[in-house]
Amino acid sequence: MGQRTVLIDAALYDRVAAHLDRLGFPSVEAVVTHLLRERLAEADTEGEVFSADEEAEVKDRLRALGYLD
Amino acid sequence: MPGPGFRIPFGADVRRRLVVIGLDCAAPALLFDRFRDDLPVLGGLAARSAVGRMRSCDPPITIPAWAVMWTGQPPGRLGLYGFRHRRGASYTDGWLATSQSVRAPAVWDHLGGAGRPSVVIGSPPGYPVRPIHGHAVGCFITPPGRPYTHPPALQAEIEALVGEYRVDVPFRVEDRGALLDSLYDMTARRLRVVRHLLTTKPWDFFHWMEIGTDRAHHAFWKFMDPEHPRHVPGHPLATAIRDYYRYLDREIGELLGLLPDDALVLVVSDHGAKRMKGAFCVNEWLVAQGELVLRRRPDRPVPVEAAEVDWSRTRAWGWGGYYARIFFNVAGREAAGIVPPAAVPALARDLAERLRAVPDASGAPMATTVFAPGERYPEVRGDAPDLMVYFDDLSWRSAGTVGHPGGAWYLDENDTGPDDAVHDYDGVFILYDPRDGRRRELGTVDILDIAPTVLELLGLPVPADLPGRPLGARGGVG
Repeated sequence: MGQRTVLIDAALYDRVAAHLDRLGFPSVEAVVTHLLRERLAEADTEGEVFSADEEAEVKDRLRALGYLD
Repeated sequence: MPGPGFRIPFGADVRRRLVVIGLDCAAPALLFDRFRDDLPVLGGLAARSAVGRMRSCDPPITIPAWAVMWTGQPPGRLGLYGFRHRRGASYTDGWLATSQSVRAPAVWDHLGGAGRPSVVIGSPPGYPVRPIHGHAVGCFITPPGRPYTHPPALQAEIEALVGEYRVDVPFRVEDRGALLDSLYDMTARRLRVVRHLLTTKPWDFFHWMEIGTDRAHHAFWKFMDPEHPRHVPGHPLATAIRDYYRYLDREIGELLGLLPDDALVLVVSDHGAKRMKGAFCVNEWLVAQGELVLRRRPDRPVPVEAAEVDWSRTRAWGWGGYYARIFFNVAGREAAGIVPPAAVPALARDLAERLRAVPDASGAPMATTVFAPGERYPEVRGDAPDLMVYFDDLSWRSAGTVGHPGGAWYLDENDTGPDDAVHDYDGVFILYDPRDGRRRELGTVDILDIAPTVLELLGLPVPADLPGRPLGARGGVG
């Protein structure tokens, strides 16, 4: 897949770079990519992940499978 | 112990590719021993690989185990202790783990950050399917009719290929012959998708997770195992698990033939399996101990959330599953809490001692493990239980229902579905490096070492906050 360049504030970049180990990422690009994907995933899912009916269906299935009592 | 002289092949070409074949619940005792002569492909691979048992996380359950494996973070740090969690200190309200519950980056997130694509199929929790750099197919918690691919257009591509894609089999059926048919149908469809994505999409990391092995164990173990308490001698399904493993072995052989020559291959399971001895009714036991007080005994077994609990006199209650979770009714935490916070440690010690002393249905001792999350995890985040209990080393699952006739503590079978097997601590680990090709006996590797090992094999830095270490750094593989 292709890549694009995005410009961010140098001080912000340096702050992220200083914390890479603690954040558990190999690079600033990885941090930014991860955060954007997270945010997009949240934006894609409005409200609760499961509707009430879906949650009931999934719970029934998990119960039958032995994961829940 | 690992032999000497292994090194991760850093050098001219660090951009290696890895295929992970995840077999949910695959048990070392089956794959390495009992079925060894039936599995020429996996056996042949193991003969040229670094091989070991893989100690799963606590609890050794599908969620959190796969998430632990691929983030390299312990359950306490992920705040995931199973499929279901209490919502805060609620007596009845809970939440189900989803992909959004996993906040730590997975191996494929690190790869994506480095511009390297992945294909991830069925790794739980995989719903809602998360956008990754590459292609993803959701896991078995996906509700019917919901989108299950990234990018979204991949779903139509899959359905053009296999028709309806099946994330799981319908399990609440006593007709196990029909269940077996569904199992093969689900896996065959998934394998067509696996072959398609393997050969048409870009990837440096390719992960197929097959849930069918887990379903086969739970549905058919008693027919296979003469020592199972409810073994049915001579049953037509006696070879169902073996036959399914043989089927997978043949299919894996075909997949291996599609791989680039230099691809690394990892075969791994999230935990093991063994025969289920029965279900222990943890809440009936707590009632008998005077810790859980009911205003009225239900006239049939119901979940404890549906029972009339007298919280003003209850000190502890539990949840069932493959392990038991115990919650204390703590003053100032639970709405009607009665245990003073200062008394919690003593209650925990006392209850743990009594739980460890519980015998099995025949009066024989059980090897029961009880621990508080803080004893097992360096960090405890999220909605953790107060105690976690493995009855008889997981051989007895736990039923949380109350209202069993006579307040029975022991059930012969799972009361929520057909179930013959429970989980075991150790899964399988086979890592094949075509540049090496020698068999290595690793002993037991830890699930927390897998993400660092994979990152290092693929030439990426291992984040300092991962508690595990690459097996290569220990002279294990490479």
